[in-house]
Amino acid sequence: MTTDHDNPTHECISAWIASSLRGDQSAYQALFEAFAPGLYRLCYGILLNVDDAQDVSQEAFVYAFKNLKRYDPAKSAFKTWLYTIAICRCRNLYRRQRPPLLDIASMWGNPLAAPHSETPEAVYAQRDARKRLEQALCRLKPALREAVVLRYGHGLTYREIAEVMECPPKTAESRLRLAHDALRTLLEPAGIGLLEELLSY
Amino acid sequence: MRYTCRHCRAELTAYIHRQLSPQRRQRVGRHLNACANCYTLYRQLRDVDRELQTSLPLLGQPGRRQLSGMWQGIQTQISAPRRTVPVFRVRYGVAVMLAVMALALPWSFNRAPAYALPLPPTPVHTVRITNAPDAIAMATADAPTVGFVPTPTLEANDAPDVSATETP
Repeated sequence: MTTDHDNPTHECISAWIASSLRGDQSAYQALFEAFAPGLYRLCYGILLNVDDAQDVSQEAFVYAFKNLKRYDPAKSAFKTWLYTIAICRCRNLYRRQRPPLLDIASMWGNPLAAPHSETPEAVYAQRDARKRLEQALCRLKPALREAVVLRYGHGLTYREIAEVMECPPKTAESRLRLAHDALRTLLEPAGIGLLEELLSY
Repeated sequence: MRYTCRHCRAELTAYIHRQLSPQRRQRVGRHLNACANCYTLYRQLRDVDRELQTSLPLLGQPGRRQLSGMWQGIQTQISAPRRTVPVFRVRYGVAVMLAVMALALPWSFNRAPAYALPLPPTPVHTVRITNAPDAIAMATADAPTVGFVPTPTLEANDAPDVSATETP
């Protein structure tokens, strides 16, 4: 796999799409190489599971390639279109896998003590900063996690996030605000050391 | 309307992300200069923002082997011919369905209506028995042969009469 397609231009993408529609396999591969790493990261950030992320990324690509005729460049960028497909697939997966959880303890106003693996001491003890970040993301609601991953993992603007998440821009903004605030609390025990640990990898 | 801490906190994330209009940005900035609590919160959020900007792009970097595996899977799936239902099968199915419906049509017309509940009793033609005691008495007294059954005279009345309970 070559990685010379990291930042393809619009012209490049349009040319690849046109070639793909004519049945050119190398154009399909070029599209895959350009977008696969980002798409996989997106899926992993949302699902936090290697196998699921790989399956969903593959499904999203297959769907996109089979429905390439439907893509309209006037409506959205190819990346946004691809991410929308992937997000839908991710949602389908975690809807299938995870039944809705009810926090009975909080319903009764009697919060239970955190299990040992989640106590602040254990979090401090964990050296792996990536794991800490994953744990924090895992505790976010899926919609908030999607917004955070799209913003911080992929640098999308609020308008693009709204487009990918198929919601109004104001909703995207408020989801980001809630996620940002929640992560401030969740990442607090890790402190500033999180960044240094991550950079050391 | 007075710009309060609540308003400022609602806009802090967008302020950090530089997604506010210049006017709103100035308003948040002015409030942060004046309010120590909001400024503390702003600094915390800014730190989290920096951490996430650095750490999240590193999360879930795919390896070459993973990408190769994915590409092979995609190639297999996109090169496989699409499974489509042949048109002639659909046509035959529609024809058979229409034929069955055509055959079932006369049968459905002749069917007696089925009701879920029993019907209420319908009023019947009432009869009035006239001279019944006389007729019976005459019949019992003057019966010439065995097997002769005197019949009372019956008068049919078209109007339903609830008080008369005798039914034919």
